[in-house]
Amino acid sequence: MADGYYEDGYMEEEEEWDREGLLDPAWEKQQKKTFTAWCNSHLRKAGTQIESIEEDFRNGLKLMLLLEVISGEQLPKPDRGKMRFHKIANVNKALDYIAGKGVRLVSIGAEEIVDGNVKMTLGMIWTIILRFAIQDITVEELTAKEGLLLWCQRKTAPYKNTNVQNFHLSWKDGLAFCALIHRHRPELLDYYKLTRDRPMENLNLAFDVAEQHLDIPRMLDAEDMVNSAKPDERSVMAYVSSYYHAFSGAQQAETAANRICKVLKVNQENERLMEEYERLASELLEWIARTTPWLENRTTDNTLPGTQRKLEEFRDYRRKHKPPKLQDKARLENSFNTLQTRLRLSNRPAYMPTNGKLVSDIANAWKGLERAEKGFEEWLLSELQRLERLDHLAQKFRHRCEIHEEWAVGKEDMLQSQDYLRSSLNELKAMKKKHEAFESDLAAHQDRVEQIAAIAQELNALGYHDCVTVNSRCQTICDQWDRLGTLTQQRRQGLDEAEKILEMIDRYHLDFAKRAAPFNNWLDGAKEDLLDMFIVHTTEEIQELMGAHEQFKQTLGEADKEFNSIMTLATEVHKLARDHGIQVTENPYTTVAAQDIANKWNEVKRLVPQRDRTLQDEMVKQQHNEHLRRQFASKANTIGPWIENHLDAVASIGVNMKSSLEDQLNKLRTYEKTTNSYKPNIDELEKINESVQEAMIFENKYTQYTMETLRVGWEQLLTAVARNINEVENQILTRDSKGISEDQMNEFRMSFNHFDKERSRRLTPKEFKACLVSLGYNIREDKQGETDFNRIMSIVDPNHCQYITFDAFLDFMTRETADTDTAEQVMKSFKILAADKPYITAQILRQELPPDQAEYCIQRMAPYTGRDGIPGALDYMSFSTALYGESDL
Amino acid sequence: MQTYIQLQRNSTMDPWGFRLQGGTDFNSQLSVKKVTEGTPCYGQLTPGDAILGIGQNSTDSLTHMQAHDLIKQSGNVLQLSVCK
Repeated sequence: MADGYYEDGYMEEEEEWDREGLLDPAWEKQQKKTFTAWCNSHLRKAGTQIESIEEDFRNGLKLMLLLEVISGEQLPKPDRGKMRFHKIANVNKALDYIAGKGVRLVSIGAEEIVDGNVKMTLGMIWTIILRFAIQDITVEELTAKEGLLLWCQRKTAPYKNTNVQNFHLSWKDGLAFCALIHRHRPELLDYYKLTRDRPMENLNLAFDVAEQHLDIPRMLDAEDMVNSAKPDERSVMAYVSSYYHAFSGAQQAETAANRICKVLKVNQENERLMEEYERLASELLEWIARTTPWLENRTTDNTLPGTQRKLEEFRDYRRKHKPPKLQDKARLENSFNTLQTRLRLSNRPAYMPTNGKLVSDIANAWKGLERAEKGFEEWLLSELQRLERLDHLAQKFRHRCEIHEEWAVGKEDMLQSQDYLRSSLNELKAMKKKHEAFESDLAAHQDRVEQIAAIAQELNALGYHDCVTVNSRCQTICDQWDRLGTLTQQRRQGLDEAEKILEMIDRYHLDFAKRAAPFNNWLDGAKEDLLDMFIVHTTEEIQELMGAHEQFKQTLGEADKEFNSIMTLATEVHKLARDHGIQVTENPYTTVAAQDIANKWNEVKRLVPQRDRTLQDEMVKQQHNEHLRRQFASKANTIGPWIENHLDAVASIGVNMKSSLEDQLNKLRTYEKTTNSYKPNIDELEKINESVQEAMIFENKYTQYTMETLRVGWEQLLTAVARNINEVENQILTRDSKGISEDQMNEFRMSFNHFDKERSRRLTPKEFKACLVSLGYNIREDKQGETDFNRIMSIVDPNHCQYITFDAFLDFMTRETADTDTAEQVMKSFKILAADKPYITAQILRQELPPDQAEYCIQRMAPYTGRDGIPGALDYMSFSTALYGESDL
Repeated sequence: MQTYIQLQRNSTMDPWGFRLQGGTDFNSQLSVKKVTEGTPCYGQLTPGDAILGIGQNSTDSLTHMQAHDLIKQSGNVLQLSVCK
């Protein structure tokens, strides 16, 4: 079997190797490198190494050492001599050992090794590698080579970009090495960053990592792998086998660790269960110990809510708290049994709970709990019933107390109040009736108070928990009841006495009222007459007033007597009230107070002489006013007609079209002069008017003119003169500048005047529109017409005053008829100065214009921007339009 | 009647061809004073047209120079809202 194994696997290899070895010396070189490294990876354990594979094994000593390290077995003692036969003997000892392991060494003799035959030496080492490093890889009964291949395939299967089919080409890109490392030690390299097209990096990465972390020396050369058409199969196998050993070793360590863990886990789990048992047991016992006394305690706080709370607690205990504890108890028993079984099965010692926590201890404690619980609920319910009855009685007591207290509220205050000392007679009579009603009400309440006292006594007898409150409340009610009786008596006496006094006062009041009302009336009338404001305009009127006043003075003696007897009545009332401590209410029969009567009487007496003086003063004033009126009237009657005449004359000048504008202007200038020289007359009248106003004279029967009308007339005259002069001047200016003939002018004026229906010298927009139509404008009665008209309005009425003056009208008419684009004209003028050029220079301007104007232009003109300009050229065109608030764009 | 018109020209050196008058500083509506024959605006604007808007701007509160500058800044395309 073993022989057949090598026949099939090893011999085949041998022939292949010989043939290929002869064909390609590169493989020999590769094998030398790899096998040397492989040997050293083992020799280093013995503290030595080889430099040259064909030289260093020649004496057989290191060969024997290598075999000892690999196999872990002792070889026969080597010969120490340095002679050739010593060497041959040593090599033979090694070869014999190998052969002893069941390996047939075909055509390898000791002499060739001692002679340093490279091929023979390499063949021998390969045999050793195969036997000791690869042979034991027996996966599923395959040859060693196939076994190693299958191991590689299985380990690299999860890596999509590796496909191990052999031990040469499949390893060229290095990914398979990396995959093997990553599969076992993923932390050593980041496989998924690697790519097939960087074999050098991949190979070197795998070799470096293997060397540093897996303790596998570099046996292959990345460059050789990449550069050779087909890497040497034996070298790759030797190297890959090292991976196998490195990882299978690791795997074993891991398996060992797993096993240990498993054992520990069992122990930990057991300990956890023990702790759990201890904890559960402690908790349960503690709960039982805590709950039992509460169940054994058969006392309450003697109140209904407290007892009800206790019942709630008991129900909570039965529903919420006890069931989980019962479960705990069952679980505790189960887990105790489980634990013991587990311990027995895993050959561990049995578990003994700590003192007092045995399963039997717990069962005993539970029994005690149930004993205590027995009868608890029945006791609690009967107690509850008793308290409920008591509580009902207490509630009845409180309810009755409340009703009584509510009734008693304010009663004492009411009885003690001496309100009858402040009331009227009628009110007092009502109070007496009310008090009688109260007395019978009080008698009816006697029964209730007795009932309250009876309930309080019963509560005391039954041992109600809050007797203190009940008793104090009952006492308060009884005490108050006694006081109410006494107070009722006192109030009745007070009411009777007050009634007598008030009836007397009432008689005085009535008498006072009967006499005070007419006298008060007489006083008001007298005062009114004495203070009566009068406006008189003549001396006759004031004479009449003085006569009336004398007659009034005759009646004063009789009035004084009546006044005194009325005041005596008032004094009597106050005296009675003061003596009996009664507060007098207002006299119900009258609104007139005694004090008012006294005040008014005194005032009338004071006003009489004052009236004498006022009348005398007015007499003097009236005589003076009469004089002023006559003075103003005589002057005004002269000035008024004068102004009217002149206004008419000025107004008629514009309307009369026979004369030329210059004639009109001359006439107007004359009027202007005349008017100015008349000014002193106005001033004089103003002075008289000032005196009139100071004397507060508002009417003057001697003249129809007032200062205000004369002033307005005067100012109208001044304005009319000035405006007419201005208008005529403007018309002359317009006529001259636009070259309109006098006839044309008159035509415009005639049209304007015709439509100026109100003679206001202005046209409303409506009148203006009619005027335009009459002059031949086509303004339609539609939206377009409206737009056209609005555009015209914006020209003639730029400020939106809603009227059109003759000037504006004239300006508009002439603007439309003559083609006078002034900006254009200015521009044309500059163009002439500029000798037809589109720009002008400062020099020309200074030459042609006065210095002021020249500088004005130079400062404001923008530089000329046209292409044909010269340095210093100025733009007169934009300057010209800007003068008219226009711009060419 | 308010209408919108768009003027175009080939170069900013070419004038639009109309004369602007008015503005808040003159207390009057911005309007077209005159139009030069053969210019971009000829046939689109007529003298007396009120200019209500320049581009996206209302002319309600513009002074003459502000309106002037707005038109100057408009480049080779000028949009006007006018009342014929």
